[in-house]
Amino acid sequence: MTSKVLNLSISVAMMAILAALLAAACGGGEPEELQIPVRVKGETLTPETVKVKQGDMVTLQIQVEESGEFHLHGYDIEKEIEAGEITDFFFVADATGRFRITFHHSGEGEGEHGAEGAQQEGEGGEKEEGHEEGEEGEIDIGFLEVGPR
Amino acid sequence: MKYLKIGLPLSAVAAALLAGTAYAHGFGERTELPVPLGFFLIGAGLTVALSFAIIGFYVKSSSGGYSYWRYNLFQHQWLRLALPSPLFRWPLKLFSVFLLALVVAAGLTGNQASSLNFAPTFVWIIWWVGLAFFVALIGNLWVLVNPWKAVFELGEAATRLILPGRSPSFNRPYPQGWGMWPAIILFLGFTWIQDAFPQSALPNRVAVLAIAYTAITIGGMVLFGKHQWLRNGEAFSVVFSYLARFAPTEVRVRDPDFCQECRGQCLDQDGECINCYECFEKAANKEWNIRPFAMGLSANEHMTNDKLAVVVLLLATVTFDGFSATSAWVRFQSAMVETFSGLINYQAFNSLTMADTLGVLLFPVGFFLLFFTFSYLMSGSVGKALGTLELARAFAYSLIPIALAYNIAHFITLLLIQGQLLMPLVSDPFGFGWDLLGTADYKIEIGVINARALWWLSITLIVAGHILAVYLAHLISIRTFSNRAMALNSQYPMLTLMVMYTVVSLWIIAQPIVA
Repeated sequence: MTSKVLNLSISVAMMAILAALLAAACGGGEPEELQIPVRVKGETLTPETVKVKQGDMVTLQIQVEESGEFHLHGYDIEKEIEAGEITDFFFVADATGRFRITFHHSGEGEGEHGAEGAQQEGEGGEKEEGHEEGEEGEIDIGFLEVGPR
Repeated sequence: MKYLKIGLPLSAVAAALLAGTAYAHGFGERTELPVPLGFFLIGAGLTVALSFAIIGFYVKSSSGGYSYWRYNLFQHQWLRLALPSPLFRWPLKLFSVFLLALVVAAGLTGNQASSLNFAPTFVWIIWWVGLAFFVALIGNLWVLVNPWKAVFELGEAATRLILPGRSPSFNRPYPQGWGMWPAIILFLGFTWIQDAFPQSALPNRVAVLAIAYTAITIGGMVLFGKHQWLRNGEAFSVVFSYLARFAPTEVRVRDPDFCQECRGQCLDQDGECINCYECFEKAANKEWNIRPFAMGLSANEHMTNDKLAVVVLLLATVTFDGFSATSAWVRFQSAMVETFSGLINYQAFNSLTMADTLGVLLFPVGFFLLFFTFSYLMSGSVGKALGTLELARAFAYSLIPIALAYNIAHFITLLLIQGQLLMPLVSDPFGFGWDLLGTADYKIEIGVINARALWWLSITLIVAGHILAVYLAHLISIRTFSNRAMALNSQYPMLTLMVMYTVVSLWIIAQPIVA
């Protein structure tokens, strides 16, 4: 019985290693130039997760309902986006990972910020689920996923 | 940078309050990609297959003795002289006290934007994640750098000078029944701050908590004596001592009689005196050994309920920190928000905090019940030769390698990427715009580790942790049961539990981080 268990487990392990090698082998290919239209509607980005591969040269063509600042975390790139026009947001996706994208509505200067914060403090429990206000009034709108090539 | 424009500390505090739940773990932005399905399946498949292969191997093998390989570093005279030397120890201790003071000062008086202040990054990423890695993978550095111990020792030195013959401690007898429960309760509190408290990243809160913990720890040492409190009440000394049991280094007192006299409880049931730091300090005949990973967990210790509780709490905490960032948990949170939003409406303790608080409290309970159930099955599988709780205590340590391996896979990206924040922060710890060491403009390199390399590393670590766990359980079963058939039978329930725990760990790292 024992040698059967041993043989079986060895063959399962072999299959797993084979599957691993297959998984490692796939992927690859040359970096691409990508134009991806995205839209900020309310508090969500469409598509909510932008997926690219490492090395891709990405241009997000951003459209917003209200003017504000578009911020890609990790890469730490920010850009002012005007409502009503399409703005190009270019970066080279050289680092893999899953990065937050936030939006900061304009017209909320530093002066108002404190007051807004104090007001928010009182109504913390009523925050809309899933979309929490981040540091300095930023709203989480989506993610950028850069997968390995 | 927008941060720099926030001049009014008040608005910064408000902003940081709002930041609240943006951080799943204390503080720090997570950027790792979830492990893809293929890698998850490879990991899970290997876990199951190797488990059976190892069991099959044990069935064939004869049980030998179980002392492990050791290399004594103290055979080199310079190491024997250097490690215990005050010239080596005191600079380390003073530096550590300086860092604690810097955390408090920066937290209280510095810029309140979390990423511009030394306190949150140092405490949550460098110390809590980084030092835990060091202790588990190299050795128990905490014994040398514990700043509270150092402060107390400074007090001892001062007392010797001013009032010779007096002690700064009342040395009240430590209540027998308390065991390590004070440390367990304090660690549970720390876990709550890490995973539920919405203001854990706020510099001011970090500083206030550091002051409070300093008061508790110094108070405990003054009341009961330094070693008594470090062993039973200082949460981090206790927690790090469990991680250090996994580490590939140990300190050992060679003379069991000396150890018996110094502190009887340090001796394990095989008469060995391992990692008993207070006896090690005084002993003449001692070793500083390199040993294989995880072997400290195989020591034949006298197991008590508080030790079992520490282990269960560690296992549950590690898992909850990852689980609380999955969408499954966020769905539960949303349900909680709907249920509780009318009832609790205070910013620092809203319904999200309520959900996380429940998680922090219920995860350890759930873990204990699960482990107890499998220990019951184990007890049944050996014809009730040993009781359920007795078996739970005996086998608890064997689960630690899985938790540690998962913990490393879970935190390595955070440490490697967010840990780089230390570079600008050492030049500008208060966030005042200083540049003391010329590194203030350092920009975080987000590409230090490639996702594919990270996936391989993660599943390799977790599968390796699983194998170590199965091996430890085997060693423990041979020691626990006189009869070979019993030892083998006992391993099937344990193996099932381990496979479950490992696969859940793999599943969590295969989930996108959403919190």
